[in-house]
Amino acid sequence: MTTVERSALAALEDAVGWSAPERRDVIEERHLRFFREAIGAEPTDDPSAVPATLCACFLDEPPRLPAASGYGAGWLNGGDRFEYHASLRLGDELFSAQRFTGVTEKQGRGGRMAILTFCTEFRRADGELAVRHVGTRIRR
Amino acid sequence: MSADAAAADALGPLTLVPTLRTLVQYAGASGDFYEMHYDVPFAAELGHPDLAVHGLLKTAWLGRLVEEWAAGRGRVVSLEASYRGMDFRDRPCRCEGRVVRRDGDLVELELWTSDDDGHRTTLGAAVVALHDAAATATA
Repeated sequence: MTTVERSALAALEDAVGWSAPERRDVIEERHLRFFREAIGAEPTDDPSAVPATLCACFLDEPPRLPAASGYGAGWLNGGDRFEYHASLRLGDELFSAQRFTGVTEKQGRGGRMAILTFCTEFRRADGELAVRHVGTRIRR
Repeated sequence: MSADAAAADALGPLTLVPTLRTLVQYAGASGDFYEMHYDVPFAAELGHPDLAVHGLLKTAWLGRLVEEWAAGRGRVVSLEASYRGMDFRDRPCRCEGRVVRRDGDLVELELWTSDDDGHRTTLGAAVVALHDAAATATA
């Protein structure tokens, strides 16, 4: 590992705990229609029903973690997990802030890579947790 | 297991052929404008043979599969996907799943996508809570 690679990893390790600025999102009819069309969802009898992965639209992708740009040339997505604690409907208002929760380095077939994990909780204005997302993102 | 029960425990297949339009539509709807998904020279610079399908779009397709299977009978408790290979535009992506366990009102599903060579490019899982497990035990 070069000194530059080591310092890039150290910068990522130092950044664990970083949070993106809080964002507020509202599930709007036009956006919901565009998302349903984009994923090819069948027409539904319930126009206020929200597809399970709509919250992906309220994630910062790729993450805006400043320390990430120093490691590797680009992003890959390693995985996603959604946990649903409350149903979402058209018109719901959600507050969230993406948190950087960890980093490990691995040697892959294409060389070294940094595996980053992020957690985002989508909450209503009263604090009720609606959806938790855990994302694994790769820099290499 | 009877053929009917086996069929009831299978999800899909749902086969999508993501075009450039699909990728741009998803980028617009999701706000994920990472150039790897629509800028051919950028993708090539990263070593990719073509424009890659967003991982979260594949998860959205698997989510569709689960929600269409559970429609009117339950709600999704969790949904996860691990991306093991890349899928590219204009190549079929086949989404499938199966029931692996029933525990009271909870049903555990195994999910996956495969490319046109049959390689599994996404491995996933979901848990669905059925509204009335007794009435839907064989549904």
